[in-house]
Amino acid sequence: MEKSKSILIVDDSAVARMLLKNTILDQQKNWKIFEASAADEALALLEKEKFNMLSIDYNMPGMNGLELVEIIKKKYPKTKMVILTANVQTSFKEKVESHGIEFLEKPITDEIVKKIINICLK
Amino acid sequence: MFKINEIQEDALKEAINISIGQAAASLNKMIKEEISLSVPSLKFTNEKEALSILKLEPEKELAYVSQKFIGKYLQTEAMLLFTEKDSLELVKLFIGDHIKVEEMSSLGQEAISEIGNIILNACIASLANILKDEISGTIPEFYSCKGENLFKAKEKEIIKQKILIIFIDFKIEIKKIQGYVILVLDLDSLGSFLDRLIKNLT
Repeated sequence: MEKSKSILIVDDSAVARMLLKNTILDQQKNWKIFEASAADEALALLEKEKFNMLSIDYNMPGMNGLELVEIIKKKYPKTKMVILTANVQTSFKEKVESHGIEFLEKPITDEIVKKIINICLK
Repeated sequence: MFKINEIQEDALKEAINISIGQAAASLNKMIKEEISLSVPSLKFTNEKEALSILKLEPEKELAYVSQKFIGKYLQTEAMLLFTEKDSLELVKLFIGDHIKVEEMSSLGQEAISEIGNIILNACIASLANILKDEISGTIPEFYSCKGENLFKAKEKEIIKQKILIIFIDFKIEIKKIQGYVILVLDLDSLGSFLDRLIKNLT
């Protein structure tokens, strides 16, 4: 039986978190999904829990997604991350990818969630 | 008064067509329904005229999401606007399968904000790609008001004199939902924005 994975969703939109969580659980019923509405909340959760992967929004109040990525890379270098954002500008995509992070475009669809699951399973 | 020539207007409409097409594609992915788009309209106007241009009734309850975007060539306030009734229909299409009816009201504003975030960013991203510029945006903000108050809350910030308002309406035919994407452009930066568009589109 496939081992359960845990994913932390970091997004200031409750609806985006709900859609992503439900769509992941539709495809992977045993996975554990945690939520944070801001970068600070995500860092506090990372102190307490281990996650296989983080899905991080970019444009959030306070610290943005890329600033959070930089902190996590230093403190938890083995943690997989993706940036999942509505900011689909080519220059921004290139900036995210230059950090060695996968860039995924909102809206959240089954295809996007399959990509997240595949990255988590790698 | 600021005027734009035929070539500038053509370039602006072409850029808006491309960007709204991208926004409609994002909306289509969200709700899996076909979306039809109008031809973009450009008007130099003020707040009083804007309502009649948009054909909005003063008493109608509206819901809209607003974000400010700032780049080297483009400074704009972008709005995604619906009647309140149509916004609720859209929320049902967007998250109806994932929530219970009793949760609809509490999550409705969040849902419209997220829809606005995705559509407005898709639209601005296309413009940023044409301009070959990086444009930063604020967090989306949700507002509801009567039609007659649409621009009043923002009067001090954006509407001092004349503005260029670009709007396009889109329809989700099967559900009879109609919405508007509105870009309010600052006239001070319009010249450099248009020059850059023409340079990069031609």
